[in-house]
Amino acid sequence: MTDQIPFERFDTPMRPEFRDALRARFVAAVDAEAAPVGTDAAAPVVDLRAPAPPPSRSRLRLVLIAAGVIAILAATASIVRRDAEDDLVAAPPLRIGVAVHEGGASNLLNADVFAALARAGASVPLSVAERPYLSSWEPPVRYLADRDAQIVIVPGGFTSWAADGVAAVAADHPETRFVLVGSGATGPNVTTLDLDRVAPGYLAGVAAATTSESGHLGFIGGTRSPVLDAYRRGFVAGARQVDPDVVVDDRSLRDDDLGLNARGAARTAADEVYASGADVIVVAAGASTAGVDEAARAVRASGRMVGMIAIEGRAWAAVAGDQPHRLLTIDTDVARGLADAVVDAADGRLDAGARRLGVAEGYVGFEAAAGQDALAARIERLSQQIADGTHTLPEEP
Amino acid sequence: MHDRSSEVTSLGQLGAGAFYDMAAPLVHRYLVRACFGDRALAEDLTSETFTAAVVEAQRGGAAHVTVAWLLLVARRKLIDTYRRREREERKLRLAWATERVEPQPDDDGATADVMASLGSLSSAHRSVLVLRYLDGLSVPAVAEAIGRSVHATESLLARARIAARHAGGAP
Repeated sequence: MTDQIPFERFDTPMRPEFRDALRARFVAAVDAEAAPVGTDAAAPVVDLRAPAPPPSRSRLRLVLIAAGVIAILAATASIVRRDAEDDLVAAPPLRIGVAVHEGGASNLLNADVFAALARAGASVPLSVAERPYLSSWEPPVRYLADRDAQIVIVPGGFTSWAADGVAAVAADHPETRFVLVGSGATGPNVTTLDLDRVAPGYLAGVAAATTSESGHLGFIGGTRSPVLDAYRRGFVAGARQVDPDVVVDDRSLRDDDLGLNARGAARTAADEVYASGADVIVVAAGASTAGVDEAARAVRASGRMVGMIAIEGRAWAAVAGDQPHRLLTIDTDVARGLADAVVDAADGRLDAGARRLGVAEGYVGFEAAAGQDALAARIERLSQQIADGTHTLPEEP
Repeated sequence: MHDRSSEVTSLGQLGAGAFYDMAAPLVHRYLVRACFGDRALAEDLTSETFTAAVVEAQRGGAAHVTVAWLLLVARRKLIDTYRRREREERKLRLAWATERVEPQPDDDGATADVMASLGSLSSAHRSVLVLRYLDGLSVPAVAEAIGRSVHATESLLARARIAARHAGGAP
């Protein structure tokens, strides 16, 4: 085991010729998407792996030669660009360590981190190393800090116990900057990206009570944590702002964060809540959101009109495409917030303390289902009022 | 439809070129690691993943094609590949090693070092190591992903760790 983290070991750039060839086929296929696809649903619509029809050996040779020429031209252009950019970007890459959240690539927060690094990497040269969380946060955070990461990113998310791991390591590494997506950690070298919880929950509550016909709502949280409790409190406040007599069926899937990846348990809970009379469920449960999707679709298929509102759940749909049961999806643009923080850190403008990713700061957005234009307009108006201070959130219930 | 939240990451908002430039390196990077450095397989699966994105766009779902969506597709395609290879390997093997191994608790130190090695493992071993240590799934979640019982998955995981250790990269 070396003392220096082998950052380059994790850097696996795409071969330029593969990257450019796939890009050309992908862009062409997507841009052709508006054209009629064809009537034979069983036929393969598109295959980016190779030009169609499959080339013969001689044709393959020609294709490879052509691809080689294109790649050389592309590489030449790329080198010219890079030479020009090198004059401007002479700084060595910023060494980023990422303590990868449980769930790996399927975890929304991890995906946000990767997207943030891709976004920040467009303007700041980065070198990224990862260390996964398994049962606690401190070991991966310490591993990365011990090996000279300049910035350690920790996607704490819905849970609050990442803060303890960050705080413990940050005190031992004053030269390292720690960025926690979440809250609760403090220190002169710690920046937390605090997701606004009460306001998104409040928007969800207003939307749920506005669309409910029964006056009976459900709330399904993935786990019991202060973070999710904040969403829950905001939700109840928003719902009662619209209907003081609203009935709320409140469920938590688990006490630990396995509840954020418990699709089956979420389906069961949602089935029960809908069966109890609720017609709108608000869910804040990470990947478990897909289980509520399934339940809502099943109930609607039986002829009863129910809906759901997902908080931080855009990536977790049971199916893609048309989702009329998803009345509203409310999300924080964590990727943009984190990218902004990384770029600011590179420029020496990242202060210690809390950065709020909230409605007022423009980091919280929403997507309404087709046909929910009136609801979208109301939530848009309310968001703007919260942002400019003309609508004050009521005291928590 | 109002949509501010996905304007940074979705295919529908960014358009094909910008979305590809953002997402392709991430998908490829994940797959290279998940394929234990088998770049040919990683490139093949990267292509298949973006093929799925095109199909989704053609169904009108471009707004839902995000980095997270692509990574989920990539993982599913990886698992399918390992399953297919596992079936082929079973046909070729005359006998399956039946050494019984008791499940062992995981430890944090197992993680990155396991991932650093080991292109010679069987497809079954690769798939559980990827899901457990690269994707960080719990054992029950791994079991669900590969279609085995939790107990069978624990045993498979234990055998995979031993195989990885013998191959030189695991603790």
